[in-house]
Amino acid sequence: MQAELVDRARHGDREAFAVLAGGAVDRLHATARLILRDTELAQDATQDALVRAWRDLPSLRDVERFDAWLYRLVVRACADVERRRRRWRAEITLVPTEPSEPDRASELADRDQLERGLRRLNDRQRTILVLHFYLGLSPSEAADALDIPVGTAKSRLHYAIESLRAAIAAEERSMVGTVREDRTA
Amino acid sequence: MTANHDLERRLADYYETEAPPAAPNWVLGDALTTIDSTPQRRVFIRVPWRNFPTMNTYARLAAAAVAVVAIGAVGIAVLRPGNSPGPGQAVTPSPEPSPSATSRPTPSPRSAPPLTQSFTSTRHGISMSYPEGWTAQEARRLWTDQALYFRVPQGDFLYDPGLTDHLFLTIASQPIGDSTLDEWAAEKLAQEECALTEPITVDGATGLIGADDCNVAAVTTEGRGYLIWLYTSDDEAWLSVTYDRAWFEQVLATVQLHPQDAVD
Repeated sequence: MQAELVDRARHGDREAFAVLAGGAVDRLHATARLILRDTELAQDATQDALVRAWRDLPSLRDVERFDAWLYRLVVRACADVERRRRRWRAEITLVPTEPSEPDRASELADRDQLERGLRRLNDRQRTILVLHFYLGLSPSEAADALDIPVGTAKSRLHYAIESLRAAIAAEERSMVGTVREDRTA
Repeated sequence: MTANHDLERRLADYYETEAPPAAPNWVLGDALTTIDSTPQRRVFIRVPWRNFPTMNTYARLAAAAVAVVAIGAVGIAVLRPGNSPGPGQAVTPSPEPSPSATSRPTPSPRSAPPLTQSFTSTRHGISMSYPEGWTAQEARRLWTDQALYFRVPQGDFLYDPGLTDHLFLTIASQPIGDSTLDEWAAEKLAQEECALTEPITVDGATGLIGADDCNVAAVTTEGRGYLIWLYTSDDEAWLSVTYDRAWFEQVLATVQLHPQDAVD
């Protein structure tokens, strides 16, 4: 079904493309939001990706790879808006997020810890974590979406997880050190 | 549970919680409004059914480097003093390069897998053998005259899953309508850019096949036309040596046409 729509859209059928875009927009927006960590920029990146998809669709050769191709476009759009953002801001400002439902204190602390750990990663590492752990793409599929070799995707994923783990561990060590200092004072 | 898996689970949960459930409606609305006034990029070089693999960054860099070196070499050859005859100077023919200096090494053929699998197309009314280990994807839509890019829904595709769009067989069929049998076959071969053709018979049906390396066969029987293509990517030279015309003819020899079973 999707392949048929892609084929029609590739030949200029705007209605077919609207159906495809309607089915993908939430997923693209969520992906952009997780990569960019900014709601407004994520909306810009999503729109940008959709317009690029329409414009460049005739160049897509394998209709079965439409989803991976779309992810690639949204990742590129995120990179572009990230570059634009950096021109205006010296550092990334994280938008505080509200929990979607009441959380226990431990869950909040857990999320804050991850949040701080993710903040220490670079764009590429954050992106591959989102593709793998949010979209559920395999390293091979993520490589396709990022237009990089599979080996690079695997390595990037590995180092992203290790960097996150190291960041969390460093923070835990510093907290333990602070507690000990408080006790000995 | 290991520490690795624990962190991975936490990440997945975190993303699930943090991801906004839906984009605001205006995001899609505005994008579609923009699209209404945005033309699609045209693909200027139309190669009807061929599919080129996506090059990764390294491949692109390598291709760019080769192009730069080639352009540089041509530039040096053209501009080097003494190479260009000045006004009034006679052009001295240069000696013909020896074949060994310019010919590219011919890659060695590899062994193709045996034709042990059998494929029957429920839409196009054809069955044939195809190589062991290959994957079949059946057509899901009527084929009128769409370009048969790799794995479009109008064609049956038989392909090596490890090589995907570098090596595949494609099959499609349609009623020939008002065309004569010969006209239909000639028209399809011309569309596929087979400049020279030869007569061929496939399962008793007559038609044409591209000459040289144009591995496209078009045959007609009982008012139905069949196209069968073998595509080998130029990116890997061994493919066209291994899956050559002789191999294609082996495949064609296994074809059975049953136009009465085709679905239009």
